[in-house]
Amino acid sequence: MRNWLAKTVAVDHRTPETPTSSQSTSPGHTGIPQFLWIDGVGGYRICTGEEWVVGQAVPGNQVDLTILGDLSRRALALRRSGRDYFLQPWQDVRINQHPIDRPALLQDGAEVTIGNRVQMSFRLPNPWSSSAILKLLSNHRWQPSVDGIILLADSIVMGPMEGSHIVCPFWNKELVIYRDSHKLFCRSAAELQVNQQTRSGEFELHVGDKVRSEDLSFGLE
Amino acid sequence: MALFTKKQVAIEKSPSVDNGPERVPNNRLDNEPNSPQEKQVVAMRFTYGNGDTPLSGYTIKRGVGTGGFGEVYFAINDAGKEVALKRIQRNLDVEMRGVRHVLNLKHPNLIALFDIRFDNEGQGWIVMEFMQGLGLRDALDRVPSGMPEEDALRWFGQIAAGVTHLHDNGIVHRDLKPANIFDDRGIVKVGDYGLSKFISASRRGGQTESVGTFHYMAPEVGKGEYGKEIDIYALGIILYEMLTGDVPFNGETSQEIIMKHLTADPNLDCLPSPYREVIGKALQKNPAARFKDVREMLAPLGLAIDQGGMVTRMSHPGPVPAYTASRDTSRSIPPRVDPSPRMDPARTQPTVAGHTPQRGPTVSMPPANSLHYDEPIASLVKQKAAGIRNWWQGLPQNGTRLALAIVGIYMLISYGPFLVPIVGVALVMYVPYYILWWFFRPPVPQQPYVQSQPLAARSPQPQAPQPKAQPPVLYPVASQQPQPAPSLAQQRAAAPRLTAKQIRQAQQRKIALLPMSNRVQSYTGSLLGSTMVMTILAGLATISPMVSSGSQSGPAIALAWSGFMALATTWTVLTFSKLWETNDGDNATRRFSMLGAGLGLGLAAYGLNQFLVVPWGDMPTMMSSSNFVAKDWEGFYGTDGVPLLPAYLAHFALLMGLVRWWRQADPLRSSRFSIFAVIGAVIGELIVNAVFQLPQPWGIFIAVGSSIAIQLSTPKLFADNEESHSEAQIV
Repeated sequence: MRNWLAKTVAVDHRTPETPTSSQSTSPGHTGIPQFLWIDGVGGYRICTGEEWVVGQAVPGNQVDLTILGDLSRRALALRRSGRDYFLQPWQDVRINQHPIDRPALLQDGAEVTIGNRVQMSFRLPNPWSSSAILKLLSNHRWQPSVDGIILLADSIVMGPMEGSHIVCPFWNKELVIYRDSHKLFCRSAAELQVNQQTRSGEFELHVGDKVRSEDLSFGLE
Repeated sequence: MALFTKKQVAIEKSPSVDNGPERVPNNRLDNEPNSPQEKQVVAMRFTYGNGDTPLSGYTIKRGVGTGGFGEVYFAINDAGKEVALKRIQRNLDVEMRGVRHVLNLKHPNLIALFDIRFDNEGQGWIVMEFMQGLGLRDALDRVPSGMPEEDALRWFGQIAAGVTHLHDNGIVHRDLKPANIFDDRGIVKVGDYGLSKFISASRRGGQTESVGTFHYMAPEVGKGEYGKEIDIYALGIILYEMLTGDVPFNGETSQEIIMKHLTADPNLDCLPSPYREVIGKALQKNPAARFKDVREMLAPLGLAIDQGGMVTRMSHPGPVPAYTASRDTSRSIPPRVDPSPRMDPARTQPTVAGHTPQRGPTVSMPPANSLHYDEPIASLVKQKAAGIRNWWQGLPQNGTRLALAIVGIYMLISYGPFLVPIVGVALVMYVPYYILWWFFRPPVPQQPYVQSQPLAARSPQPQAPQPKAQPPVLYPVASQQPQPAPSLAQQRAAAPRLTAKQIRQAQQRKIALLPMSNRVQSYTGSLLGSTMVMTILAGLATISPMVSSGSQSGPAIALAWSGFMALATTWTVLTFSKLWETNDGDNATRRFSMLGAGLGLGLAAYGLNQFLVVPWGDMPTMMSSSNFVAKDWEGFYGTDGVPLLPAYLAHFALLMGLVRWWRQADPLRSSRFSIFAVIGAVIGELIVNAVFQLPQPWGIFIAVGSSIAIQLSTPKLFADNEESHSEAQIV
């Protein structure tokens, strides 16, 4: 068994509102925005790194992704290897209603049930990107509260088309946020206003940036 | 302060909006695509952005939506509490007065209002409960043919409980509509009751402007009557929409919708008892003829409000009220025939928040039926037959029918020899087509329970085959009370409407939200349908003198070549159109793509020509002209004038790039079949032919055949200028 399955989560005393991600990319050092707030669409948490532990949102629990629900403090771990995502269960976990007791490959569209009640979906919506999206299907919530988790591998596609990681139905054109080393960049065919300055083509995104155009607006935190 | 300018849709419009009735869901936060109706509304100007703190103690995360009364944001206070902040930018006094009235109301099915605050600029803000879940508008948009009964009852019971609490406290909501209703983790909550007012004895309050949404607006609102009966009326509309997927009174214009509210009877034939009776009584034109309160409305449905104000199941449903439509509203809707199993009563229990569904009496459900005309050609034929039947029945009795019948019989006798083989060929072709369709149709997900089917679709009553219920017929005669003309406020409010482009975009997004299986099914149906059409056209062509006369086989081979090429062209267009149906895209890009596809078709044309060895040289008289641009171009034509590969490539590429073929397969096109589109294809072919000539009339046959097959094989999804919901009309 690879050591990632038994890894220990680094102690971190950040508040729940503080962006958290994987251990390998602690915020503040990389400068990568941790939250993506899209007006009229939703809020998404951006998680970099390769491994993530999912557990219960209780005070003091320092796992990467916390859910306000009836699950273990360390319920499961996710790991990305290339475009493949593997799930290591640490409590009762089912994938598409099939119980698993060993690392399992997650397929696009998989529904993961943790314990009896918590249910989330796993999507790899874009064939050209290895980034995945986690969304809760059951009546639970991520802590901090967002609409979805982006497991950022290389890029995030946002736009009106179905293959986008985040479907933004009002947008006329696609916009791609991609990662290069420890920085995030934005690429769009449209002319954008970033912090009220006109930008086009490709440019770096920072925490606190506000991006808008005629049909879109989002902020990074 | 950041200025977030989103798509400015209709917000910068006439001053009448300032007093307009319409608002948007103030508190929606679902991360799924918004409904087509709301999309237009949400995409507006947000004054603040992520990280802004216009109110001390609250940090804005993102904008949620905007409406006529203000902007709504998702924010977090310093303690971590998630709230919705509503910035009141219009009608401040009106809104604040209404909100103060209801600030202290508490009910699980009402969105809680926490506070009224003012920022440093004196701008008013309402701090309210943040809704995480799906809105009813979105839920309805996902099931265009109606919700399963259990879902509808779950929603409706809890909505009714919230409204009952308002009424019990002397408040009329006045703006009930799906966009104001949310499902927050299984608990349905009614929001946006800032416009609510105390029920006064005179039923007239300080707010004189017309309120409500057209589709959900009771007739008496135009007269300034705001009793709780208008909420009961709106509840009736909402229940109807949940069960059928469409509102009972729809129209192409706001005025038409209002007029239907005033004069038309709803078409309830698609609903079983007791829904038919309950909705019928709730939608009475005369407020006094409606249920006297929401409890009375719930009783026939087997629901009740308990002492705690929560909705519960009744052990015995109340008596079903009598309802008789003032006239037959079912004439335009063909009957359905096949019976299907009765629904299991145990499955019909509504799920009520905080209550475990109990086994108990259920609604009376007549035998349902399941004759689904899913097969596209049969569906089209049935639809057209129903239209002809209705037209026939609508003809005057003064001999017109007799005259038409005589003419019809004469034409049948005259053209019988031609029609019989065509119909015969069509029928013979239909049988293998249907078998193929049956075996290769996309799988339909099995519903676990019978009641998972939309209620309206299970009804034994007459119903149109389309997934959405047909809008009711407008009758010119008023029903049960003297009908007031639309008030000035109504007319003024009716003025601002979506542009055709905005409606089109909303409809395209609705298509994009359709399950992929539906779209694949539609695509395969179009492919097979176009094959049928092309077969018929080729069959018709065989009886033309040009093909049938003479003993030479050249024309027949040429017909086969052109028939196959027309089919290939049709399939190419259908494929591209299916990919492009969710947006308008860029014309130049699409032309270029089609031009590329045309090269492929040209190659196929050349290859097929070589395979069939079409004797073009033996048919010199069929060359349309001896003068054309590329006649003497090196390598394009043989010495005998027969086109070579470059001519085929150029001809088809130009033809595909010149004519906007994808528009003929657009599900949002203005009419199912347009002769002008065919003429346009012919003109395009003639223009191309003037440069790169193909043997005629075979090139024209390809253009005409393709145009006809494309149009006939692709359905038109929406009625002209359809606006599903008036939420989109006014901001």
